Amino acid sequence: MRDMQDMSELKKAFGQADEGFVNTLYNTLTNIQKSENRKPVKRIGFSLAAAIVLACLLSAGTVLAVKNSWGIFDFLSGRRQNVKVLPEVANMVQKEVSQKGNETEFGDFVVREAVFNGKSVYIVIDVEPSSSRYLLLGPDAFPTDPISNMGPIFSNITGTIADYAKGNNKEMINTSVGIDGVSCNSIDYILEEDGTLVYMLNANIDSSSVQEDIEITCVAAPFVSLEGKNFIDDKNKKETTLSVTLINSGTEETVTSDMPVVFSDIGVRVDKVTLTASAMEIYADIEYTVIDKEKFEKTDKGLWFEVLDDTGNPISGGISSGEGIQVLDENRFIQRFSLQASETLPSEVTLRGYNILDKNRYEAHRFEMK
Amino acid sequence: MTNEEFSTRIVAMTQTLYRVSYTQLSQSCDREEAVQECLYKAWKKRHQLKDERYMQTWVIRILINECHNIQKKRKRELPMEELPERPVPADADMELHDALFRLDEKLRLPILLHYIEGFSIKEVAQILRLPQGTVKSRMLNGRQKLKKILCEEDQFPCETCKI
Repeated sequence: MRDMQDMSELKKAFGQADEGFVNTLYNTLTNIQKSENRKPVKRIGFSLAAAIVLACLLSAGTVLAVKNSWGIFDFLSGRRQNVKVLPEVANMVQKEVSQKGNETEFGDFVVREAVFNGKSVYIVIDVEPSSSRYLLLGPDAFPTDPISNMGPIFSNITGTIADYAKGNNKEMINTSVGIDGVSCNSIDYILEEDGTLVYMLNANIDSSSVQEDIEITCVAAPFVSLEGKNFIDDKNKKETTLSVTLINSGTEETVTSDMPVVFSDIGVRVDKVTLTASAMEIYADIEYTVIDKEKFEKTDKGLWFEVLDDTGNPISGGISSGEGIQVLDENRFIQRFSLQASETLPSEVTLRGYNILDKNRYEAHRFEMK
Repeated sequence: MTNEEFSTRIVAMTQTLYRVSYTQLSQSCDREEAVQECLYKAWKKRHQLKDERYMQTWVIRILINECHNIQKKRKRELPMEELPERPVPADADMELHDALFRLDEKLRLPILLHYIEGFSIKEVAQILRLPQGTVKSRMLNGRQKLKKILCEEDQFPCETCKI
């Protein structure tokens, strides 16, 4: 009869780690230590090299920003956290953007830079005031907001935008930009020293064409003061449409999962996972079908799949926030989002169900990618 | 975390790392490959570990992933029926070894982590990225199967086995 007093007796099923295992463990630790001690001649892996190049690029961009205007890299490094794009992005930036129509009474709208890869677009637009007395504001900036919100050069100035305008004898002008027919993921802006308001728009545009024509609606309107309060003067609103041609620099490799996997606790079958690489980010599509309505409905429409790295931690999102959930029919959905750029696409990924409402985490399953 | 601290903590985990890899990989060369890759990755990504108290569960998670990678690679290279059998270590209890390794891996791993390595249910759930309920049910299922296997082998009524 088994003389097992408790389950910890099971330890005897293993024996001690064999010599080969112990030697490998010690040798690996020694190699790690050696590589650390060789800092001056440390091998630089591609990812580290890429990060260094990017850091150089970003700082070069920041230096340029002082003399000229903020570019895409300045927005990415100055306004976002944990940004990682590959250095190849530098070659994708369209500096001479074909465009028509740009003037309003209050300012000129000019597309200065764009990056487009057939999935997402980043566009930098300069709005130059037509008079030095105009103080251009972004769409959500109001006279009562702190002037320090308007960009780095105002960071040490106290008081409201209205105080600043009054003290510097400026007239406040509200502006806005938007891509026609496309919902923007983000709109950033900063005001520069010469009065130019610089926008960066990010949106998802799916296209396989070599080039894509888009229209950007640009609006400028003064503020009017009524009973001590400032309102946007819609009657004097000026509008122009910029017709812009974007060059599609394209994406790179695509991998897809080899077979469907059932997530039984949420009543869903993930039919396909598709990852598309680009220097800006990795685009992920997760197609899934509801196979158990009762279980699925318990997620209360809060289901989101997160992608885990090989340490089991969620991989950071890409620089664009993605499109969310696309409904194909009553039971079929596609979750579209982006992940941080990487030099290579993974040969397998782990997806874990996650509830964005109650923060519950569900089953995790691996997918082999081909 | 300094290199020395990292090494000290890993050395203290040697037997655990061995058992975790042994639970999933039958061949010693694969276990060595898994632990090597695991340590390189853990060192490289040590900054991602926000709280060093969780280093053990974190490293085990990486090791489990590495073992899965190798399992997949081997399955691609060799059909299942050609996978070599797991040799029993000379100092292991053969009966317990056979019983434990007759369990499916998904039942074996939670039992190893909880009963042998001493992790709480919550920690096991975190390591295996499973809900706690799933871990509990797998452990219960595993215990029942283990009990049955051991009773069969001993040809004694199950009540006498203290599992």
